[in-house]
Amino acid sequence: MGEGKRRLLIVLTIAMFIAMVAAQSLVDPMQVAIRKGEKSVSSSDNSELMVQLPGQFVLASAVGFKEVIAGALWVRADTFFHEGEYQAIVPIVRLVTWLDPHNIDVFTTGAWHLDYNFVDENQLSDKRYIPASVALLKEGIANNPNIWDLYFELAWTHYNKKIGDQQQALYWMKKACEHDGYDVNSGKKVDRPEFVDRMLAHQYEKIGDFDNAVKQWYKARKRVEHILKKNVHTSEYVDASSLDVCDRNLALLLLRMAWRYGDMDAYKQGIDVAMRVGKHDRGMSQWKQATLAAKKDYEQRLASGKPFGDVRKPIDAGFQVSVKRLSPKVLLISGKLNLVPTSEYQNLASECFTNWFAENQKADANNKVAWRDGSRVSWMLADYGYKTPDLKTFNWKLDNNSMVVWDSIYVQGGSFSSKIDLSKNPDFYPFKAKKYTLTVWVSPQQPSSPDFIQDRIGWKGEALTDKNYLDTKMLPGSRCLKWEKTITREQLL
Amino acid sequence: MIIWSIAKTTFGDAMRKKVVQIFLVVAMGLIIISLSFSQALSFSRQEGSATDIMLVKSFGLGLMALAGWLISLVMGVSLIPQEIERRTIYTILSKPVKRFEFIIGKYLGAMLTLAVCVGLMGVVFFGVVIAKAHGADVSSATQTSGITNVGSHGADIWDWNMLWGVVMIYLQFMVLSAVVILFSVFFTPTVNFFMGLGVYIVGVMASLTETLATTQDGNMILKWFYTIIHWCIPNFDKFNVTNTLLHPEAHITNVANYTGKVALYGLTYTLVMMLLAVIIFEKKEV
Repeated sequence: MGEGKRRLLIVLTIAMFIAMVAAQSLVDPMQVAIRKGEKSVSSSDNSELMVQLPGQFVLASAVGFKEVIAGALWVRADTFFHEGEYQAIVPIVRLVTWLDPHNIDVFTTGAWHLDYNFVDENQLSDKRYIPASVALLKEGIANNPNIWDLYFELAWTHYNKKIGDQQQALYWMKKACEHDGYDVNSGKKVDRPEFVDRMLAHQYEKIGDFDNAVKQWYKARKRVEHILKKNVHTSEYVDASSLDVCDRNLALLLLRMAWRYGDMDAYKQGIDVAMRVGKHDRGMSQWKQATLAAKKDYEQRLASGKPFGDVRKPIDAGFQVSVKRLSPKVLLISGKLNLVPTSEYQNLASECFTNWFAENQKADANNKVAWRDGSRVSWMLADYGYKTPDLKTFNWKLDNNSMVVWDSIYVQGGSFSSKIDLSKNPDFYPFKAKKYTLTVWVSPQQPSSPDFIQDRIGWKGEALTDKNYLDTKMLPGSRCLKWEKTITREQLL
Repeated sequence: MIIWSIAKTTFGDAMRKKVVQIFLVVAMGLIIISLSFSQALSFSRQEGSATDIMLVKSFGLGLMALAGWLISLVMGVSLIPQEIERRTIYTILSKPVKRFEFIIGKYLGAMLTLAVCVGLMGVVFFGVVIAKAHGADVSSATQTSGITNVGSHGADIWDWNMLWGVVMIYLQFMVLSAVVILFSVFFTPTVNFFMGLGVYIVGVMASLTETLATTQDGNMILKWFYTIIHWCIPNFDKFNVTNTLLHPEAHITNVANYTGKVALYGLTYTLVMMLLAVIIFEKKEV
């Protein structure tokens, strides 16, 4: 080859190299877009994870067996699960989500383990893992933003049930309702289950946004109709009972709005919906009888024109809390809560439908009750000034010196009592802070206050009064009861 | 015509190699064995059949990649040194065969061999996936809470995503073979094998070198080192979209567009390697 040709080839090589760099520049952003969720695990975390992975697994993953390795690890996690070795599962979950970031099941199961399964000897879970659990789910959402599953998991299981942050639960539930699902076998897009839409309606109701709750029930019903029409031959689980569930919930919501706040428009609408639901019942069902009684009550109230509303009449909660140290790190929390004496149900508007007070009066001495039990009192013991960390990405590094624990106590016969033993698990309860805050509170929201308790005190605790512990700041817009005490370490140990 | 003759001879020689045949047969056998994979996890909310199919696909694609990688290296490292060692190169080059024709012919022969190998494995792979999908219990549930399933679909017998997966595997070995051919111009087969292996491993971890290049705050030497590595070592990571292809909910917006651009990248990289090989081989004393 002549020198000229050689030079030409060198120039051509340089030109091709530039073309290659340009081509790589075209692919890079697309690759980032494809793997955008995976970026939430930082490179340092990756290195940390790689160290945990046995060498042969690293090699196998590198040459293209990522999902196979993830599957094998997941089988291993299953073994640990059945052996009750929950602590061992979560590092595996972390590896599996790193290797296979689109495996929804692993994110949900991993978050569940973090939330529920690290328990002390009294079956109280370690609440310090909750921020990590939420971060894990958010990472899952970043990896899988187009399906409803993880939004719902975060909303319902974590913010609603575990953390009790209903506004966050509402936010994520709305997100879940913006997405459909996919079929894991075929990859085809499928409608999200209709219960997701129903849960959003419940969530609106929970925070007291009744207008949107009513709208959402209608939306959920319409969607069920649409699904039934579209999938007439393929739908195995959605049937007319889904419509019935929507109607009954909507009817009860409207009727409760009427009984609790005296909203006559809601009363009329509620009876109409309840009548429609009753048409499907065979014979004179309890629902039909209750609806007819409510209709009669509505007509009487319409004729009399008197304002009414079960939550207008205040009820003194008589909240009392006492805390006694039984032994080092063992406390007895006890007290009184006037929720709800049977007599409070007499003449409630809801009585026309529920007939609970009348039935109780008629009951024999053995079955007659003086209290309508069902309320729960919540308590939390935490380091003084403790704030839940807001993790942006999943983080294992717990502050082992911090302490936070909470649970609830059932109220029976107007009083409550529970022994809190924090002496057996020093890893969970290090007691390193000098001061602690013990908070005991009552929320009008479910599950602390079930429907029949809310019938008397309202969705937002409107009827609640208490000369000492009424609180309107804890849940903005709601009336709660809150007792708080600062305790020194010496007092606890 | 000369190039095509060399390519055909190279293909014939490669396919007659016992080691290539063994890799091919073992890989196809293992892909078939993957049919028996079963992973019904009792605490999993996903139906076993879906997980089974995903594992079969993952295992099959992974195995094709592994076998292709081994075949590329084992075959590629000996393509040119073998001719020199046997002294057959004198006969070839003494005929009116130009050196660049020899290099390109060798490369095309290697690509033909890989195409046949990947093709055969691909056929077996698709057969296994179809058999698995056909036999799967398709009444899967997709939801988290296990209450309602609306509009469920049966497992798709033919999954186009898997075809893209096979194409991507072939494309990355097109690049790896070019790198190995370049190395074989001046390295011995043993050194070439390990060099090729090293390049492949670094290339598979390209996203890591990219991250390292952007996170070396203050250390300019390291920053430049990782930047050069990122741009000069072939980014095999770009060809690896198995995970995305396996999860139908995480679609690549436009698979054809992505594959096209990756193919363009692979082609330009291959051309650079081949040009360098030709330039060096022209000066090499054989």
